[in-house]
Amino acid sequence: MPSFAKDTVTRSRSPRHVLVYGGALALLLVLNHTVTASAYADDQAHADEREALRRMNEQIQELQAKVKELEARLNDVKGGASPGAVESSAPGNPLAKVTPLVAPPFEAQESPENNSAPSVKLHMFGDVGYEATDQKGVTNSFYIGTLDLFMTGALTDRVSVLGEVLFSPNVDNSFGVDVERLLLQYKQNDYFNFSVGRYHSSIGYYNTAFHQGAWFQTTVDRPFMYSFDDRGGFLPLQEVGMTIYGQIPSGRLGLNYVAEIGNGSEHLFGADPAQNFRDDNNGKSTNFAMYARPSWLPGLQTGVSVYHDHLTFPDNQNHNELITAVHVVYTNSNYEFLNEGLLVRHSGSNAAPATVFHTPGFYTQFSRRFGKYRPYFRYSYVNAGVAEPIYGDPADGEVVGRRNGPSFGLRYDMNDHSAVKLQYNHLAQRGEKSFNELLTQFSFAF
Amino acid sequence: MHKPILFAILALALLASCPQVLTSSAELDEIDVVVPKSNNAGLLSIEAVRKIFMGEKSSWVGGKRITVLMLAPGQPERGVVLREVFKMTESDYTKYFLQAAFTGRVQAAPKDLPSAAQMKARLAANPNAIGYLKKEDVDDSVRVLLQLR
Repeated sequence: MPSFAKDTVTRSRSPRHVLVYGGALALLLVLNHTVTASAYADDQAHADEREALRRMNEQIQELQAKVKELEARLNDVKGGASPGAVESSAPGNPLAKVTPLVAPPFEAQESPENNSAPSVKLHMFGDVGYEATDQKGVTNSFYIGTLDLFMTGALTDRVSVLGEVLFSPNVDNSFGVDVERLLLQYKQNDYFNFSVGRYHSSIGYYNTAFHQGAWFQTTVDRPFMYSFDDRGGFLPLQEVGMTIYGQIPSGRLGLNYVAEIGNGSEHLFGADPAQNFRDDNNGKSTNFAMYARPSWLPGLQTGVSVYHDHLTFPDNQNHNELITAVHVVYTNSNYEFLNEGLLVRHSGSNAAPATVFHTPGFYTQFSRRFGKYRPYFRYSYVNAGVAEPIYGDPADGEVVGRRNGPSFGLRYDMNDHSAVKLQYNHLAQRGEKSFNELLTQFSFAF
Repeated sequence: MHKPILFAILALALLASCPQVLTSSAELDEIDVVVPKSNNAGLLSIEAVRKIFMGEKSSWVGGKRITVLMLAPGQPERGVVLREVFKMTESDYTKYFLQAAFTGRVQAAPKDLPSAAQMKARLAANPNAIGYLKKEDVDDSVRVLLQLR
């Protein structure tokens, strides 16, 4: 038998090769057409079967919906209709009669105008961990972070309630209960929204993007300047008051605004920083923030906020507080690059001579996701003067001083609702020996 | 000299005899963003659709609240929308809406529906809803505002 390969090499110029190639090509084409036609016919048959099954499945679902609708109507006739069971229909639209009545498995947004009774959606967040440090006088310890119950409920199409209750351990080993947020919200449209209650102030970016749920943030802890008051924080991160917010018509620039007026901060040592019960004075805190989320670069946000308050102290030495913060952040599925800076300006309003103190602070944080792993780096800095009348006086709270240092860490997302983090901190403080920390944290959200 | 030409012809003949190879993936990936026929919204850009689906734009012109409908996880149409509109993975999507609810930006994630039939039924029942369908599932009950490929 002649070798086809050999023929192609050694006798390629022979007139016989045309016949050989032609014959082989014809044979292959015939075989190919035969095989593919047969396969195509099989695939076509399978596709037809799948299509028939799909249509049958859809018909079954429609019939189930009809049965449930009839059951609901029957209940209506009996006077026992279940709230929210029947969705309103578009007038004169026959398809509306087959609207499914079964609540979907995933809680989801839907216009409450169709629901006859408000319902509450509940989420839970929490974290636990272990801290090791070489700081003098501080022991290594397991810790319970916070247990956070978060609730939202729509009262009407435009009015909703947001509540957040926090359980966290105190230094005396007891557990404290804190109403972290309680907001009545009114949403008119994309440009005007209003809320009243206790909220997280819109100073900078971090405090608006990350609240108590540690699972949301990449790192174990917050940057120095956004630490909560029970972790040495000094900014008025929580307020009681009202907020107006919305978008500003600005095309692809994506401008937004936030205007807040509240009671301001309490500056008595040991007191809750948010003046939940009554304001110390009649001067209200104000905060105005503006930020851009340009649509031409999804994930980019840049903005500025200006906060002002009158601080009243028992010794009648009142002060003005002005906090200016700027931020540039970029986040997407893989990258997170956060950069913020602030300047706190305190000035005596009735001191002679008037003195002004500035406290700068900033942080930069970068992380990159690799599958379920996300290594990160952060450098954080804040510097309050020694003679700062508020941040430097132990009678008015924890001394802020100068703190700066890097953090390195790794976050591992076990699934969509839980994560383990390992973080190393090196912290330098004015007047104290620098120290190192190793933090681990398990956090969850669902 | 003849070999490359002959093999090229052979390869083309093989490809030409299997039309599904060239067309099936394109057909699967063609998704239309749709609203009910009764909704008179104009054509939307991908940016506008992204804002609506992510909850950044919550009302139609005239003030009516937008209800966003999604097909349940695991359906190929959802994968296209996550990729083209949200530019997110399923995990990112879950986290995004959990965080958006936590910060108060949105009430909850879009409603998940188990099938295209339910999607059409919901769209028919709610003139303020927006969703998406495979091209072959689009019929006279809906209007196409944007095609995703």
